[in-house]
Amino acid sequence: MSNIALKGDVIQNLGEYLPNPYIESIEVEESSSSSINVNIFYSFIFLINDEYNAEDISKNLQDINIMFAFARSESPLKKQEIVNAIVDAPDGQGGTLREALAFFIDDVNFESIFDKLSDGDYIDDLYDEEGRRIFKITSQHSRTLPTASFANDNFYCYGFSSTQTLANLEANPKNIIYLNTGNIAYEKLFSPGLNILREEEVIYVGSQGEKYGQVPILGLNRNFYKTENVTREDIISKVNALVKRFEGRTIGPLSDSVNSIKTVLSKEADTENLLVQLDKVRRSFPNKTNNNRVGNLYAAFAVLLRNINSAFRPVDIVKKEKYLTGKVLDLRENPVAAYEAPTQFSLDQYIPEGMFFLHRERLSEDETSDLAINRGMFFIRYEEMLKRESDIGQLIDIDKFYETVTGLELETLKRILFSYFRPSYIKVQKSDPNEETLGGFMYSITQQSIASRRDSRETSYIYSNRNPQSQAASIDQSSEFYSERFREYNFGFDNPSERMLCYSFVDADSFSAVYETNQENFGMIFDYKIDVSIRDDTNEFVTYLVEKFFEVDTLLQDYKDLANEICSYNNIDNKFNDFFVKSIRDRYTDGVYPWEVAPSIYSVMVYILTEQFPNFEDVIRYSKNVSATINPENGNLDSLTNFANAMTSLKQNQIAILAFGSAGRYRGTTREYQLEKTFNVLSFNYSDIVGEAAAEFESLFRNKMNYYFGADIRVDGFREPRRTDTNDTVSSQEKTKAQFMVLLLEAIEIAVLQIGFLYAGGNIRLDSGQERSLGILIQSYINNLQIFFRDLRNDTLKTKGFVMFEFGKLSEKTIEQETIHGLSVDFFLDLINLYEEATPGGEAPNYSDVSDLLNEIANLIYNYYNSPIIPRFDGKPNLQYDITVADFITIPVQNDIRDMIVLNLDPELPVPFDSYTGPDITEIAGYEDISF
Amino acid sequence: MADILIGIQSGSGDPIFSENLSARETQSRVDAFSLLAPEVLLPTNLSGSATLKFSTDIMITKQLGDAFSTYYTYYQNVDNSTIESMLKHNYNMTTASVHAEFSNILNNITQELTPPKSSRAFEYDFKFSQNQNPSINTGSARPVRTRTARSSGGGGY
Repeated sequence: MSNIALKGDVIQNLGEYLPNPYIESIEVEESSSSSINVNIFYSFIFLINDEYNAEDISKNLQDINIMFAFARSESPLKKQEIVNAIVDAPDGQGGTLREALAFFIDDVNFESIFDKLSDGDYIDDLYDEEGRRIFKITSQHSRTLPTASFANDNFYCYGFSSTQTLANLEANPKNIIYLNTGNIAYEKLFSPGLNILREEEVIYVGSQGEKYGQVPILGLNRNFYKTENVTREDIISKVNALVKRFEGRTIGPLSDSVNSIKTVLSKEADTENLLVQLDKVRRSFPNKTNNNRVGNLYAAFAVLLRNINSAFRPVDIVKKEKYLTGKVLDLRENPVAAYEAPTQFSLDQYIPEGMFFLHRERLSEDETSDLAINRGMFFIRYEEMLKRESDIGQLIDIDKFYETVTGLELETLKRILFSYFRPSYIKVQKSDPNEETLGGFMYSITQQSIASRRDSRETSYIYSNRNPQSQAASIDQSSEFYSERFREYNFGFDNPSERMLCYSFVDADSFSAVYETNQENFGMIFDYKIDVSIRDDTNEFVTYLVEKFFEVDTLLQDYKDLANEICSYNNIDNKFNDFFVKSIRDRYTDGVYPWEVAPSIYSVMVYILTEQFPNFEDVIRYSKNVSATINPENGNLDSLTNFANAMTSLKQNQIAILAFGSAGRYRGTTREYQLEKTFNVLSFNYSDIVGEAAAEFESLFRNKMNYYFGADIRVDGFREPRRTDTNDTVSSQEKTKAQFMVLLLEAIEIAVLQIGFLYAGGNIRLDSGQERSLGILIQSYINNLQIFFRDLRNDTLKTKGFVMFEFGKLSEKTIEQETIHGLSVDFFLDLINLYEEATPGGEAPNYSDVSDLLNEIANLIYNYYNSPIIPRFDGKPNLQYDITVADFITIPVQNDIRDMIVLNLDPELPVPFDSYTGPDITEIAGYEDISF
Repeated sequence: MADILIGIQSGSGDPIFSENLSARETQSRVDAFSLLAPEVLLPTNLSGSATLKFSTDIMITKQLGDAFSTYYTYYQNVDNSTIESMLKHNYNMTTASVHAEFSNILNNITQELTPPKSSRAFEYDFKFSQNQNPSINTGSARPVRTRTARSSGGGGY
C-alpha cells in the first residue's frame, strides 16, 4: 500500500478540536441465535511533525473519552439526534427515545491504546497528500447486541470522542453535550433482515481524487464548486443586502420578485442548487427593463449573480461520482437454506380444448362436385409444459430462473431451454362419427421433426393420410390449400407472458350438400384427435449448469489459494497487497474474474434452488456485497475464505442434490399429450350450400334423360332425332337416373334369363360362387359400355358442345359398332361358359339369336349418354351425372340379378359414384353462350 | 366486426377475446399488427441474435359467418419463409451455441450482480453524522438510486 494515505480535508477528517475516531472495520460474528458480537476496529490519526513525541499523544488522549453508540434509523442519525438519545437515559428522562431507536451506547475503555503507545505499536510513516506526516494508532471495541430489536431495520454504529464521561453526558444539558463531543463517525452495520451490504453512494470528488465531504454549489455553467472561495454565507449575505434595498416599498410585481428571491434563499440555502435556483428567479422576472423598480432589481440581481458565478475558481470544481462504502465484515456462519424442489402442479390440459378453433368452408358450388374444407387452429401450452412437466422443471423453479435475466437475455434463456424441449411429433386426426364402420379416421395430418438434433427442427416435414373408403378428399400439390395443410407459428401472449405453440391445418372432405344440409344437429359433426409428442432433453442442460458451477468454483478456489499465499496480503488487516492486486487481474486475461462470476453464480443458484432470498433484489445486493468484500482492491482474506467455504458447501449440498436429481433422469424422455374434441360445425358460407343442395337434389332425384323408347331413330349432326323409316321427329320420355337404372336392370335381367332359357330351358342352377361370378360378369360388361359411351359423350362435349352425337340407329344398329359388338360377344361367351359350368350339357344358342337383347342394353346406355341437355330447375345446364353399377344400390327394385351385382360390387368403379366426370364447364365447346 | 384473441385464462386455458371493439378499432389493431412486421425479423439477421425479437407472427380473430356459424381467421405479419426462420431461431440451438449464449447471459448477470467498476473506493472512508456547523461537513452527499427505494447512506453535516 502507498504511504500517501490521506486525501482531502485532513484536519476536518481527523478532528479539528477533538480527535475523531476512524472506524477501520467492523467484524460481525454470531453470538447466539438471538444476538451478535460486533468487533469495532478503530483508529486515532494525528498530524505530526518529524520531532513528535508519542507521550504527547498519550497525554492528549488521556483527556478525552471515547464512546460507541448503536441505533436503528432509516438514515444515519444527525449529531443532534444522537445527543437527544444520550440525554434520554433510562435513569434520566425516561428512555422512550432510546427504545424507539434501539439505542445502545458504551463508554469505551481504551487502556490498550496507552499500552500500544508505550510499546511502540503504532504507525508513523504515513503521509497525507500535502506531505504531512501522520501518526496512527489502532484499537478495538467489542459489543454483544440483541438482534430482535433491529432485525428489520437499518442499524448503524456511531463513534465519537468527548471531553466528558458517558455518565456526565447523560446528566448534562443537550447544548453542553453537543459542544463537548467531536464529530460523530458512523458506519452502517445492517440493512433490514440483518443483511450486511456494501452500498453505493454519491459523493463529490475533487481534482486530486479526494472526497469532498461538503455540499458543493452548482454554478451557472453546470459545474459543481467547493464552497471555499465562494461560500453559501457570502451568497446569502450579498443577495439579502441587495433585496433589502427593494423590499417593503410597494405591493405588486416588485414584492413578488423580492419574495421569490427570499423563498429561494430560505429553501435552498443548504443545497447544491442555491445559485441555480436564484438564477431561475431572475429569468422569471416580470419586467427586465431598467426604467422601473422591478427592472432596476432585475439589473442589479443579474449583475450580482454573474459576479458570484465568475468568482468560482476552476480549481474548486468537483465532480459527482459514485463510490462503494462499507467496512463491515460478515463473519457469521450463515448456512444456506436447504434445497427445495419446485412445487409444480400439472395443468388439466396442455392442449386447451377451448383454444381449439375450427371453421368450415364449402368450396364446391354446384351439383357437379362436393368439396368442403375445415380450417383448424390449436395451441399447445408449451412454456407451461416446460415449467411443469420437463425434467428441469422438476428440479429448478423456471420462473425464478427467468427472474435472473431481463429483456433480450430472457428471450435467449428461453430459446436455450426451448431447444432442449422440442415437439417431435404432432398429429391431427379427423373422423366422421357416421363413418366408423368404414375404418375410423377420414384424414390425418402429421408433422414430425428430427427432435434428437437440437439444431435441426424440420417444421415442413408434413405428411397426410386419407382413408379412401371415406368422404375424405385429397389436397394435392396443385391445390391452393396444399401449403396450408399444416403450419406452425411463433405465438405468445404478453400478459400473462406465455409462449405457446400454435398450429393451423386444413383438411378436405366431399360430403354432398344435401347430406350437409340435412344433419340432425344442424351442423356437421366431426371428431378431432390431436396427439403431441415432446422430446425432453432438458436434463442435459441441468448437467451443463452443474458443470458450469463446478468450473466457476474451481476458478474461485484457485483465486483463494493465490490470495492465501503469505505475500499476498497484509497480516494486520488481511487486505491484499498492491502487487497482488495488480498481478491477479493480469492472470484472468479473458476478463472473467472469480471475485465477480463466483458470487453471481453462487447467489443465482441459491436463489433458484432454495428459499434463501425472498426476491431477486436481495440476490443482487448479496452478490454485490460479496464481490465487494472478496475483490482484490477492497476485499480481504477473511471474507474470501468465508465465501470460498460457502461455495464448497453449496457444491457439496444443494448442487450435489441437483446433480443427483439430474443423474437419475434420462436424456430424450418422450412426453405425450392428447386432446379429443367433437365439433358441431356449420359452414360459414352456409347460404351457398343451400343452393348447392337444391341443385344436387334436382340432379339426384329429378335429373332427367330423354328416353327414346321403341323407335329406330337416326341422329344426324345438329338436327333433331328422327325416325329412320319416316324421317319424322320423335318424342321421348323423361326419365330420372333412378328410373333409367330400373330400365337397364330389366334389360339385363331379360337378356341373362333368356340366354339361360335358350341354353337349358330355364333350368340353370347357380351356386353362390357362380352367382358371384355372374354379378362380376355383368359389372364388367356394364362398366365397359359405360366407359365407351362416356368417352364418346365427353369428346362430343369438348368438340361440339351440347348436341346429340352421331352414331347410327338406336334400337338396331348400335350392336354393329365394332367395339360394342366385341364387348357383347365376349359377354355372351363368358355367360355361356358360366352356364356350362353350372349346368353342363345344355345347348348354347347362337349369338345372333340373342344379339337384340344385348343390343337393348347397349342402346340404353348409349341413349343415356346421348340424351340432349335438359335445363336444370334454376336454368343452369344440367351436366349429366355418370352412371355406374353402384347406382343399382339406390333403385327401389330388388331381384336376383340386382343382388348379384350389388353384393359383389367391385369398389374400383370406372368413375366415382354419383358424380359428373365429363369436361369442366369451361372446356365444353361454346360454353360462353350458356347463360349462368 | 371481429373479436381478437388477446389472452388465455392461465388456469383453465380458455381463450380471451377482445369484446365490444368497433369494426374500425378491430381493423386498426389488425393494421397495427401488420406494421409490426419490419420489427420482427429479417432472415438476413438470423446469424445475429442481438437483433432478433421473440415476436408473435400470427393474430387470430373470431367472427360470425352465415347462420350464426363461427368463423376463425388469422393474419400473418411476415411471410411463411420468415416464420420458418423464426421458428428455427426460437427453438433450435446447437450445444455449442447454448454454451456461448449462456456464457453471455452469465456475463451479463455477473455485470448486474457486481459493483460497478466505475465506483470509487477510498482507502480511508471518513463518514460523519450531520453537524450543525456546515464548515465541518464530511461524508457522502446522498444515496444512490438502486432497484428498490431506500434512504440509507450519506453523512453530511
